[in-house]
Amino acid sequence: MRGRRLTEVAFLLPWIGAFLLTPPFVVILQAWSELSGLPLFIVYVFTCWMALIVAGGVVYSRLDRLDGVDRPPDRRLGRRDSD
Amino acid sequence: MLTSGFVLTLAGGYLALLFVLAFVTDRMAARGRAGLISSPIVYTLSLTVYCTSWTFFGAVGSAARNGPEFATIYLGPTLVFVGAWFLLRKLVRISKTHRITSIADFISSRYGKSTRIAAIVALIAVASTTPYIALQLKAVATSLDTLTIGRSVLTAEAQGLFDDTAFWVAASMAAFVIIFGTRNIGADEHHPGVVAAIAFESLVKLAAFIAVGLFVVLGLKATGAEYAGPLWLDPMLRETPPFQASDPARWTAMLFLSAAAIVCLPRQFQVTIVEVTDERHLKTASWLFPLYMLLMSLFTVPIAVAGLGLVGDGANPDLFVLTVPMSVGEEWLALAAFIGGFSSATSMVIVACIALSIMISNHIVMPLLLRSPWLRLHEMSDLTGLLLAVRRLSIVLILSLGFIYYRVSAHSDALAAIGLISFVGAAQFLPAMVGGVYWRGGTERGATAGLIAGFVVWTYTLLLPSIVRVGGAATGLLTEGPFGLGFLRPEALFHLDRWDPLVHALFWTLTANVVAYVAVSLVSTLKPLEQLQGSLFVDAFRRRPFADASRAWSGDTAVEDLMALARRIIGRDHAYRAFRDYARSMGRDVRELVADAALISFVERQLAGSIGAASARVLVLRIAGGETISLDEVITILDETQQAIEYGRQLEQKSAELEATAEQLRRANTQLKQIDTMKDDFLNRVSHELRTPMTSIRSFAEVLLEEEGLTQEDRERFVGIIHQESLRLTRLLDEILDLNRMDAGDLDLRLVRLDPATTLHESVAAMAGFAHQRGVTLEDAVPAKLPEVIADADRLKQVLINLIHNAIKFNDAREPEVRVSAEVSGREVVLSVSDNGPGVPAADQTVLFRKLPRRGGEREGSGLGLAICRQIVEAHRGRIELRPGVGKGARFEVVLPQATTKNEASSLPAAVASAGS
Repeated sequence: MRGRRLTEVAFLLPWIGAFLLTPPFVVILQAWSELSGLPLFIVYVFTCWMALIVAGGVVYSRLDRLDGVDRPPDRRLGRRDSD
Repeated sequence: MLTSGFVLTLAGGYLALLFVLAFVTDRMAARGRAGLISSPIVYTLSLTVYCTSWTFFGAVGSAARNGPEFATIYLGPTLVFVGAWFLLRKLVRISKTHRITSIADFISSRYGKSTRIAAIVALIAVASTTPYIALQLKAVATSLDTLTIGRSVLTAEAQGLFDDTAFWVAASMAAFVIIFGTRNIGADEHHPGVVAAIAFESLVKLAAFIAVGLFVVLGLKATGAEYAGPLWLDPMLRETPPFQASDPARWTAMLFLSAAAIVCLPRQFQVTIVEVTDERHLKTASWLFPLYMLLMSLFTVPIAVAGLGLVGDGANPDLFVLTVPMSVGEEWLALAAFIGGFSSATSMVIVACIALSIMISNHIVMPLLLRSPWLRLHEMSDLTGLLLAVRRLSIVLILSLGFIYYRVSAHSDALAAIGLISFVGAAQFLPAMVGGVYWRGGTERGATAGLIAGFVVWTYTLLLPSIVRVGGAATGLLTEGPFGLGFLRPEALFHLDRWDPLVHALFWTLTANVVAYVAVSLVSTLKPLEQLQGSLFVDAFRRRPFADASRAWSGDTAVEDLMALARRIIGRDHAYRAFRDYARSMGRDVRELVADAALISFVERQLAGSIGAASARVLVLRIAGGETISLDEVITILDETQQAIEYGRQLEQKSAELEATAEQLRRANTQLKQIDTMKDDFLNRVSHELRTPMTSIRSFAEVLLEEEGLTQEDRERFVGIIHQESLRLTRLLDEILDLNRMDAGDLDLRLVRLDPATTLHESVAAMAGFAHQRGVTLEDAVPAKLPEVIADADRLKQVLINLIHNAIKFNDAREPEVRVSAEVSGREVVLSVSDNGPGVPAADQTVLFRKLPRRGGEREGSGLGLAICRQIVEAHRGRIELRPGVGKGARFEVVLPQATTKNEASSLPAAVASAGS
């Protein structure tokens, strides 16, 4: 079951990233930057970016460890990603 | 100022180093020692061919002009790679299975191995890559000129062809690519030497950029009167574009565009999908590649800001990476930056040329040559030489096209703008490609229509304006529209005015593309082979395609013919090895091979690895002479696999159900076992309880029978004991019977509305004597009146008396007290009996109300009393609870629901019946 959870998280990651890095968040952060006079927007973008990388690293290394030798999925027809 | 000769020598030396690296790697790979090259790290580094000189120089320029939007160019790929396990893995899996050699091959293979669509894709790829290659030439030439003579030659004066630095740059790059990209024709297009060179270059450009970045961040101080900190943090520069907001629409469009580009750019497809040796590498690349891009852009903003402050607005911001170190006299750093930019340009040109030359030769030239009736190529004995020659010519052609575009457009356009034109062109592959791997219904006609529509709109809305601007002629086209038709203005199509040209073009191209693709697909019918390929692509993870694909042949061929064909295309050695390996995998000798459908399909795949699926099919068709599969056959194949999948799915479901049932059974079994143990325990205890009074009755009876000299007094005492013991026996049996009756569910309750206070008072009164006898203070703290409940008065009294009796009996305090009270809590009445006795040991609390006699301790009563109490109270829809009392003592609470007008006595029997279970 953990494998399936991980796959689901891996699937979600790019969508979360896209959600954070498009309007309205982009518009909000740019407005904050302008109001505060600090480059908040750039900091925000780089933070999200780093967070995505870290999350990706964690998820994919877990997936790797979980799969071990990584059976090709076509051979597990009938067996979902159970561990 | 560095001399031109020195810099050129250095650049030449750098190229020579790449040569050596690529050469050594190719040698090692040929000897089967490609350990390092096939590592996920090298794979990831080779992906960074994405970071071209455009991003090396242009990202800073973009930041200096348009603010933070430069980041989108990397963020899009980051999103795609973080989700690599889905789209990219599927593309890799499909490409490995079908031995895909390029993006054109991929799309053509998906849509029934169509030659036509492959040629279209190849053409679009060439057209959209040309500006990009021009961009690299321009970047290298201008950076070289800036470094050596302090200004870009082209902007100063027109140059003859051979005086143009870019010409020599293009020529030397062509030489490199020809030598390393077309050394041999492999069964699949792997170029380990090139991959190694590119991985090396990725480190060079990263190091160069970070060096400049660190210098700017740490080394450059502002020289203002009131501020002397790092230049890039100078408050005076806080208002410059890098810190400004960027247009949200453009931001989003570029994010999408770069995400599309990372899969659709021909060179990215080449390194990401074709060159990958192991699908698992994607797991590393999914985070390492984004990390590389993050590092690559970490210093973009500081360099841009410093450039604006130091070099000024007038200078070309695209060269800040170079001009910032130069303006403070750091020539060596500038040289490093030049090498970094040079390195990014060469890697892009190398990979793009290889990818495009494969496409041109496989999908445009070879099909034409093979079909031409005069050449009779299919009868030629060795085609490898021809194939290589075609590829080399293609490389020269591609670089020439790039060079021409550069000469035409060199005077204008920021680097980033040219790059984006390319990106939008490449994005036209997206619908056909992604649609193809997720939608079975996409047809060859649909994909062709989509590609052509998107390409035409791209040419009109993006390429044309960029050329018109540069040429300076016919600018009326942009402002007035063609023939004065305002709604056809290329950058405001159908009056979509005041949009950023890029967003405008992206919208119209993809709209035209997707609409044409979907609409035409829906009205056209799938040819059998398209249907087969479509389902193989869409279900890439679910089936073993070879088993199916091989059946797509029905013909009659000799093994020798096939072998001869393979020899001609992939060379004698390769062909022999491939056949030998194939025979081995079938467990046979080469001479025993039969030209069955599987072998033919195998040969076709081998050929596809060098000349593309469509051409391979044409060739094999001639040799095999077999019919392509009929619709009926395909349907049968599809049906069979569909059934197998469906069957597998059902089996899976069934086994899941079975598992669940087994789990339930296991649980029920455990419960049964527990109950069985309890029952045994119960019987054990009960018989023990029955034995004690029986034994004493028997022994006293025996004494009475046998002893002669007993006094009357003794006799009476003994008979009294026998009487008491038999009473105790009866009581015990009554209790057991009671409990059993309640278990069976036929507890006979005579329910009436009553005031529980009355019952409480009566119970206290009944126990007063016993309390007195035991010296226990029994306090009646029950209010005179309580809300009515619905209950059986006798049964309720039985419960209360039992509780009070226990409280008195087990109370061993020095000044024993038992307190009976009651209170109203919400819609319930709580009757409680509390004492200051020893309390209930924690171990017993859980089993207190169970049908189990008390273990150990004094053996008074059966221990069934509380179990009976619970059964009775639950039959009243109430509950009995144990709570901590005063001090160590216990406090038993009987909670009963208040009687409402509705819940009359008649409504309870249902509860009575269920309370038994």
